[in-house]
Amino acid sequence: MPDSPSTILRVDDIRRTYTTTHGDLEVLKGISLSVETGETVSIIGPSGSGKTTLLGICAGLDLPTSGDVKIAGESLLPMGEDGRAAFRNRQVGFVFQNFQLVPTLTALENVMVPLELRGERGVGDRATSLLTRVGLGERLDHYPIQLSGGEQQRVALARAFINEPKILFADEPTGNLDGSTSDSIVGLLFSLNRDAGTTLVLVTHNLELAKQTDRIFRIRDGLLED
Amino acid sequence: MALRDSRQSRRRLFLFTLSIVFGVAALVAINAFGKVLERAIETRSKTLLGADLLIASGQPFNERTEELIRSLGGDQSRQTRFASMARFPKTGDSRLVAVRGLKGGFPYYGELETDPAGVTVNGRSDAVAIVDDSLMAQFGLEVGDTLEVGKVTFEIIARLIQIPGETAVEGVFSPRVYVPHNQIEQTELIQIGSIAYYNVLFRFDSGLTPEMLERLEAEREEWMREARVWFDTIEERKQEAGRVLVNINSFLNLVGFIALLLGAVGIAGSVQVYLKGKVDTVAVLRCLGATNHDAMAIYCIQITLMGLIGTAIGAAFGLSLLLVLPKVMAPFLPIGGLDIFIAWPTVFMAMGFGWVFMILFSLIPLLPLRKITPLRAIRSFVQDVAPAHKDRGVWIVCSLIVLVTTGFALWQSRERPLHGLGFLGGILLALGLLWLLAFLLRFTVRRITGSTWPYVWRQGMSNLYRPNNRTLFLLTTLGIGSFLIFTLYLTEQSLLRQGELSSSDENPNLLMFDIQPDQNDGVNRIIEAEGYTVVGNAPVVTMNLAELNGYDVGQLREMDESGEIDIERWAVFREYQSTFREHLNPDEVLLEGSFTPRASLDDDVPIPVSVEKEIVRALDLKLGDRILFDVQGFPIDVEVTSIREVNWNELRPNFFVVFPAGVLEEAPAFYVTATQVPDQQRIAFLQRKIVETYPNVSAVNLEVVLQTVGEIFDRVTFVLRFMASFTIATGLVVLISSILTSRYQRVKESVLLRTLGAQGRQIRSIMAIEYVLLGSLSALAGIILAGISSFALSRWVFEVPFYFPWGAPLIMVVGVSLITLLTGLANSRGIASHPPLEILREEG
Repeated sequence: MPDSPSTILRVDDIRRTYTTTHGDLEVLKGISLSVETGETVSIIGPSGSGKTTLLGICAGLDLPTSGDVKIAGESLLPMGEDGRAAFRNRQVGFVFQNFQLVPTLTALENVMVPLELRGERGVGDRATSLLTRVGLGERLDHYPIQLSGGEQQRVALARAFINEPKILFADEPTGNLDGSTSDSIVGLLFSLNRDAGTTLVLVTHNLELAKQTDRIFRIRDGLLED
Repeated sequence: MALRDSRQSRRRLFLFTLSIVFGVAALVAINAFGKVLERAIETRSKTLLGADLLIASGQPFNERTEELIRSLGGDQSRQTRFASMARFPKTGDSRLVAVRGLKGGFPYYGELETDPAGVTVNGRSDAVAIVDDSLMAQFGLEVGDTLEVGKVTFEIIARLIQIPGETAVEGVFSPRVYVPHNQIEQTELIQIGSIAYYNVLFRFDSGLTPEMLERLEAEREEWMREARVWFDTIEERKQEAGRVLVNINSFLNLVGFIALLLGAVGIAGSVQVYLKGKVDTVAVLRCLGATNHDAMAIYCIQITLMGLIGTAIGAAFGLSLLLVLPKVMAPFLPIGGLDIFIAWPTVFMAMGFGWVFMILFSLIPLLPLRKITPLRAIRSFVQDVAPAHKDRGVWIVCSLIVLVTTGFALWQSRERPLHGLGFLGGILLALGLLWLLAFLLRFTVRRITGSTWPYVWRQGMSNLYRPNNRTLFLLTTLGIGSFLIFTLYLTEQSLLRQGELSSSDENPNLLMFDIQPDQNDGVNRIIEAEGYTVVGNAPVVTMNLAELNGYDVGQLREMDESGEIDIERWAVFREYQSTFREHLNPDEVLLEGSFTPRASLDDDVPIPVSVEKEIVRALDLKLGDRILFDVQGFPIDVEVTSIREVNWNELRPNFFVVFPAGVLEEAPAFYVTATQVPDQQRIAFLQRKIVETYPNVSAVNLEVVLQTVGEIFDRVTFVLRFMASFTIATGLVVLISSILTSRYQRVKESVLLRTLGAQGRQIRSIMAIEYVLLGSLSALAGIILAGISSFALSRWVFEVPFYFPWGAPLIMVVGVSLITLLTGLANSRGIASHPPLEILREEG
């Protein structure tokens, strides 16, 4: 199937098998999907259904056993690890369930990392402005360990948007947060996404959260349900 | 539960056990070896002397001594010892050897080990010789070949392998040649003024009785000491061997101590990182109803078991080393053919110390586990662990560590407890300084790292002070390792430097002595006829110190014992080889007073003499002090009127005491002369030529002496390095384990950076900057500390000028940085070439 110019993510018949001590375990059994630019989609399914594995492969963090993944028309598979890293740095943003901030960097430094990795200088102002936007203007020099869970996820949101990615992947972004904190993080996520015009791919088992996206993909036993 | 929990981490735990393996191995090997030596000295003490009693003198025995010898009875052997040139007709070479003319059944205990076995010169009167194995190897001699000593040509009938009570090293420096006693006279080498030693060795059926010893001690006080006749007993040899043993053991124990301490530091660090990964598990267990003690118990059991495995492996390794150590140490031991046995109580004691150290040092990171609350399981950011300095348990453990370490230091240095405590203090000081340096480094890096620096540099440098940094730990362990290794190296260099100066082109390299006055001109003529210059030619008169400022040697000894004066006894009882001349030599510097060129015994005033500063120090002399010298029976009263410093490194004929001309000309004397010959072949030729004309003249080829000193030093260095390798091995294990354990910290960070788009090159650069900085600064800190300690050792222990080879520190810094960097980079393997999720899955 040819890509339309507006397709940002295209997944073709991907399979992923892990070798375990008890034999091969096929987690993804042939999944195809596509996401249009600016669209917000969610992938939902029960635990162990393969949704995080799918997200990892879509974002180039893992490789499928077979099949192909394209972002903005570029196939991720032939790129090599360094190529995929550079590609992620330019095109992709991430938000994780457990925040995944670099523990040895302050909040401001964490946000600056994606730009600094590509050699940009003088990015402090942009990072400060983003952190102020997420409500952490006063906590720039705090280390992750000095921040609450909600605050850590705000830093992660600011970091996800600093490189103005074309597509943002979020893995259970509220999974480690309490109710009210979750609501504010979700609000912030959608608001930042809307302003930046980014495509959002969200993995969650929270149906209420999924309903806020344009489309929902349901996954069960490694296959997409109709 | 403890075993189940350890399933996923046994590889990591095994690494911790390795930290202690080398320390325990060193301890077990060293202490068990010490026991082997102790028993050998105890059971074979008689072989240390080879007889029950030795009576000796540097002059032929006078009538009173002969009377004493006769009255003692028993079996007697006579031995005359002197240094002489030996010529080997087979090769045409000649070399200075230690000739020993033997008559009688010596050795009475132990045996003269020869090849072929059982050969002796006892009972023979023909010209045969048993020759030191090292000498035969040097000149390619075989049994059946000949050697010429003086006027006699001896047939070699056996190689000499070992003599009871003497180390093999002694033979390397001065190869021994045993000949029948009656042949000594035939050599015509012993003349008036020649240096020779006369020994009588006794064996008594009931050993040396207390009555005999009492009598000898009384006679010593009465007349023997003044007559320069001394005696030696098995008991004294045993004490001497014991002192050698204590010295050897002190050094070896030091090595074991360092290895164990270093290992313990490594364990504390490794366990800390290991347990950081267990915090969540503990929180979950607490949720499920486990008490603090249950959680602690799980990890205590793991560490205890690993400790037992580590100490058992270490002990096994140490016991296997017990087979190697006697071979390594053999040249320095006064006793050969050791019976190896395992002193189990010592082995268990060493294992016990190793195990206790491991447990105590593990407890420091283990104790905070008991403060973890169940809340942590649901709120991962909850900080429930109080700082270590507020934890009473940590203080108790630290106090126990200090107590056990002090106890250990005392046990290891039981003969010299102050040394042990001093060493412990030194190590603690070094550790403290390194700790301080690490703090300063973190502080400085934090201050200088600029926000405009490239990201990779900023991140690499910041890893030195940011949360989870390993700066303190790595800098201390790497620094202490570099410090110890470099101290060894610098001290060795300062000592070696002593020999280097003499091998320069201007200094003499051939020294001849025992030249009779009527031969002096002839010898110098031969030298000049060959086209060489006589660099130094001086008469030598042997004399003894009889009185100092009116006190005889007996009184001086008593005054020294009572603390009234502070003198070194060797300077009182030594035989002085003095000279006389009208001037100072170019290699002498006048420090105090004025040199008197001429004097006369007829003036009836004390003779003004010049004394070298070493003797001034040893006898606590000052200008104006009076000495009465006994010049071979003739008393000469002298006054110290000048103090000189001699540059001994130039190896010209030099003297402690220089008389003015006009005083000693009539005294029995021999001459020494020195010359500079360009190469070995010409040295050998000149040496041969002189020995052929004047067989009694001894020549010392200084090049060979330096080479021999170098060889002996090489052996010592080998032993030092062999033992130091335990410390180095532990240091490496600690380094590798600490860097590997930091992998578990750094890998998630690296994968995250990878996820955010970092190139493999960037991740490697960040790690490289961190490790190179750590490695180079540790090495630098170690070198600075080593500089201070080896300066102190050179100045106050070895009393040689301190030498600092500037190139070596650079190599050391580069070397340590490179090892650290390579280990660090090996640590980041796979991070750049595998998908991030795959790494996270593998690392767990």
